[in-house]
Amino acid sequence: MSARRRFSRFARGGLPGLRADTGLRLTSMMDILTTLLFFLLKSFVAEPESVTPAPGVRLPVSESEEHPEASLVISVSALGVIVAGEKVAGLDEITSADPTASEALGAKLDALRTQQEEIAALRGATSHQVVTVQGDRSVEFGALRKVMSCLAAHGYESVALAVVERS
Amino acid sequence: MRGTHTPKGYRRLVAGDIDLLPLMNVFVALVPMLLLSAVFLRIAVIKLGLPGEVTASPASPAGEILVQLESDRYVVLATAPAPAIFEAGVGGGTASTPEVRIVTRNAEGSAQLTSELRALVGDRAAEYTVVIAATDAERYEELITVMDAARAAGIAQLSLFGAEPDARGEP
Repeated sequence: MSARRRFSRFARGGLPGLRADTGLRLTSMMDILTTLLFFLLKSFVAEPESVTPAPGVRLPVSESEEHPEASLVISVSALGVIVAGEKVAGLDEITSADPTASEALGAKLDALRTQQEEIAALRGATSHQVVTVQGDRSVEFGALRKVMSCLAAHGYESVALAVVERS
Repeated sequence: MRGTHTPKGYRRLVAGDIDLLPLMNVFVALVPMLLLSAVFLRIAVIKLGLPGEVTASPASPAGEILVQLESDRYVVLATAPAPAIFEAGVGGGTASTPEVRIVTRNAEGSAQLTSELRALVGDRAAEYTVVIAATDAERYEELITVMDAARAAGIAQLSLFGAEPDARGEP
């Protein structure tokens, strides 16, 4: 058999011993994904309840080590007052003497509290209103005071301030 | 694929693809090491009690300490009853006169504030509530610093002065 004919036969896959393997090997990539999966499972088991800082909020650093619990999240930053992911009022509006922003915040809080009480009633449990306030470290105390006054006025019993644990 | 010639003159095909296997093996080694050494942000919380009012009445059942944040100092006001102070005869306070301490706000101010609070409450830190008062322009971060100082002194009950609704129930 001439060399040319042998080459043509090989090109058509006729000689199994010399066939080049061009498949993509995913074994190592699967190892990486498995490692990441175990890491995420470990993190979830260690801290089942995690709080994600709201966008635009730089939490202050603290020595506190108390873990957050499932609660309503209110963020106060330059972007305004955001309740459960929905902007209720701007920062300047909440600190002004105009009660419109406070009333809007109060209405939102009442609606959420009613919703939580209905859910608790369906479960046959008592409703415990817990709020986590995520305040940007540069926010003025006046805005925070207004928000907390609103929370107290609308029946929220327990307030927690979110901070970054000092490492 | 390109061909090369063997010594006998036959053409042999050589795979020209890039072998990514060693690179992936490097990632397999790097990723766990980076995950184990990474520092992730841990979110914690500081729980606040119901807002309280400061009173100088000796009949007040709860021990309250007011920490007023001013521009250059912390003013610590311990209202009666403060058994740790009055019984030990520490300072100039009496049963009807609150105890006042002044702490300069500087780099060591937080540690000194903790010392003053610890001296005020003694071993009865669980019976006291720290009420933090500040101007509206004060930064939120500064309040957290005072809360940390109070917690370092063993006082876990914290509240913010002025955070309660007024008599009409409005903020």
